[in-house]
Amino acid sequence: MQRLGEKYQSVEAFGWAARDSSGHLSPFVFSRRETGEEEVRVKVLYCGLCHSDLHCLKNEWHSSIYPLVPGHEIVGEVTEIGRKVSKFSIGDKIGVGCIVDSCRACESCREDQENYCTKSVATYNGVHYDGTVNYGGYSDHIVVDERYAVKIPHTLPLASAAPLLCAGISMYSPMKYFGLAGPGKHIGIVGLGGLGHIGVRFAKAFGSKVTVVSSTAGKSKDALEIFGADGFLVSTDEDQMQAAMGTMDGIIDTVSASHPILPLIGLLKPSGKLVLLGATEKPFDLHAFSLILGRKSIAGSAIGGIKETQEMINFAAEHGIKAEIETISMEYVNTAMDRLAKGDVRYRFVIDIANTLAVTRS
Amino acid sequence: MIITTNITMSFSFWSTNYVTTVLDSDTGNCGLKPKVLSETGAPAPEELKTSPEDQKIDAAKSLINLFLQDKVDKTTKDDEKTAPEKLPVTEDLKTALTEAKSPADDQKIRKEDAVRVQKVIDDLTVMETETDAKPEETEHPNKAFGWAAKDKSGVLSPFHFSRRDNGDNDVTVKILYCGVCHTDLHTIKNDWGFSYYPVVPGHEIVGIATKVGKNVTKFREGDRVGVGVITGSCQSCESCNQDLENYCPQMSFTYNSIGSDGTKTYGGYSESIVVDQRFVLQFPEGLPSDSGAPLLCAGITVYSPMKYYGMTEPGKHLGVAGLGGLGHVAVKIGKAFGLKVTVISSSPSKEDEAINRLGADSFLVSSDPQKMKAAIGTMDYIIDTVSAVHALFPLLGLLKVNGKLVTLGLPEKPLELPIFPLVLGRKMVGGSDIGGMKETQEMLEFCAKHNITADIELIKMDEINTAMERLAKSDVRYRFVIDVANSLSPP
Repeated sequence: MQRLGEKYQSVEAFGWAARDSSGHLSPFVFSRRETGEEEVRVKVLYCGLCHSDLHCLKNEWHSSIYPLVPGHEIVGEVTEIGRKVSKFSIGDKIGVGCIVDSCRACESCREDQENYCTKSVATYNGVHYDGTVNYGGYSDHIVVDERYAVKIPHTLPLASAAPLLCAGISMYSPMKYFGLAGPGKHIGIVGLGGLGHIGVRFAKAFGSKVTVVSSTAGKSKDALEIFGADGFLVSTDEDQMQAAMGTMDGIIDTVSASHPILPLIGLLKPSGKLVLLGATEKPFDLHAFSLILGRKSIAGSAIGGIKETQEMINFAAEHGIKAEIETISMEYVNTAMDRLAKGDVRYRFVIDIANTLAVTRS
Repeated sequence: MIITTNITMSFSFWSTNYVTTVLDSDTGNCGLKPKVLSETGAPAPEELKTSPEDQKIDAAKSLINLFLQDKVDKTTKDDEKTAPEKLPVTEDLKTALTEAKSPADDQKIRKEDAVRVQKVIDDLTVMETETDAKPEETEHPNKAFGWAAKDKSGVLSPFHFSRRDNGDNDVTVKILYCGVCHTDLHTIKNDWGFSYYPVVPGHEIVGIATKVGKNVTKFREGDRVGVGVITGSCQSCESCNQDLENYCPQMSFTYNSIGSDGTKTYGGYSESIVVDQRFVLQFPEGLPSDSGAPLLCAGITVYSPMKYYGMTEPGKHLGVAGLGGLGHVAVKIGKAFGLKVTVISSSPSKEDEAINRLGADSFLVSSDPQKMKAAIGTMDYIIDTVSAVHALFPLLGLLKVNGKLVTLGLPEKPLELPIFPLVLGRKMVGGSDIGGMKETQEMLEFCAKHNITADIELIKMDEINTAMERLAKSDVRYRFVIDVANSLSPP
């Protein structure tokens, strides 16, 4: 199904796409380019469902290009390599995350922070340098420059490694950068969803003390018993929140919906840092005293560079860290999206692409 | 941790509203803790629906906590006075406490708070009825003289009070000069609602040590010394042990505060002051007493975050937003760190001064959209000293990836902080609150070495009210300093 004006590429591909902002996904035949000199062709085995997929499908950021094939937590197997490829061999299990290209020349790119390059190209809904729109991992294969793929060590189960490519790096990067990773540090993690639960596992592996802050009291059992958090605060419980004031070195806030931030600042110790991962359109009312008293700060963070993503994957392999997933079939994806919208998932959906995509092609 | 807990608790449940007419670039923060309510009732943050009544209760409770609660709860130490603490019981305080005590049906005062409030009212009632309650003049054994504001008109006038004897750990300072900080203005006008009149302001003090206690090792009689914003802390908590007395929950201020001895503190618009040696600074040789005085607040307020947030790498680009008492010192310190400095100001008329007198490398008019656009993504750091409400979004845009903005101003309403720029560029907005004593000493040495002083206008004590009016209009380049020794004389 070639869209009018879309450049036809030489290799047929099949996936699921949304055609409009209803976000409803359905089978979609499209095309991908030939494998370039420095590129690899990857047969997709698994792809995680990120909340960003949902935001994008529904055009919530007003920048969606339809038909839209989401998916940026991709794990697959290399089936073809360009002649200049040195990082990978055929048969390697590799991961592709949120970006597949960048300018390669700016300060951010040179410092391995491609995620902050102003010209970074998203794995899906981004525009490739040749003008074609990128289609993501809800598809049978993908072509990517080797620079933007990472190797998955064989000790990591593939399905549960997929969410690390976005959720994992989104938590790992700020913990390292803001100095919150390590013994003696007390980290708060706000929101126990796809990002939050992996964050707890990373933080514990770093040796930090972890408290989960959530509006859902029912998640306390999982937080403490499955993920190993040291404490759990119900954010709507005034008494609990007050008792925890001034106890945290840092907080990673994974919640993207609009929510009160002032009480979170109160949880910080002096010199504490609040790192926001979810960006809302509505600005936050900043009471200057809240930061001035106690020299606190608020910062943002967005995924991580490729080098750091590889480092994170290796760390996860070393410490046996994986996502807690619900594996689904391609057919189930619309239901999964509905459930995701309601937060009804423990804690990441992962599509078994290899075994369930092809059959949907009629 | 009580005070910190209560401050942040109270802070969570109401928003501050400063009745101020400050137009431009100075900051009135200097570490003062606000427990305030405006007379019109501040609009609560959207997520915290607290009625003006609830806010008043919380403000009154936090007033109690700030000034009295730690004294009521404090366990008696061996050397603590056994006489009951004497505090000026103003009508305002009594009213606030009484209102706090009588809960309406829909007010949420926790049981233990109600009990605590009642105890405080009982204590105060006892104090008030004692016939030998001491006024300020006889509270301490030594007569003292200064200028004070008696009410929220903020008008300053001669004032007789008293100072304590020089204790074993104390230094008595004969005051030569005292800088006029914007916080002084906020406090005398009760902008933040916790002014305890009479208020003798002044926390940029330079003088001569005339007496030192027997445990004092750092100073000798005749030394030239400085006293800044704080004169007391618990000296044993984690913050104090890290030389961060400014973040100690029990810290007390040079004026308008309850000191470690349980009595109200009076500041530098006076002949002399008695201070624990830990809070006295050696004034380096070569640093002039008059133009060096403002460093004790303005200087440390910009120096501390520049060091802490790593804004000192030579060659990096610093933006200084606002060119007032703090801003002009920030420019000088920035240049001394080897930074490229751009002043960001809404007043084009300040460009000549910024570049030719203060040494800034460039000047950016914040109200010029084209110039602001051209400067996008060019700055490594920004020190934001602007105290009026202003937009953060354009300032954040000026930062490079990983850039840092430190906010020092205290506008009358909350600032809008957009989140997308933070996330997309891993940018940071942080606050800072003066600095610890060790760091303040380090800052003074740094300024002496680099010949950094404030640009001042020297005034006489009896010119202070005019100076305050001019300060309110930002009509000063860039700090008033009172020539105390030569112009303060008891009638």
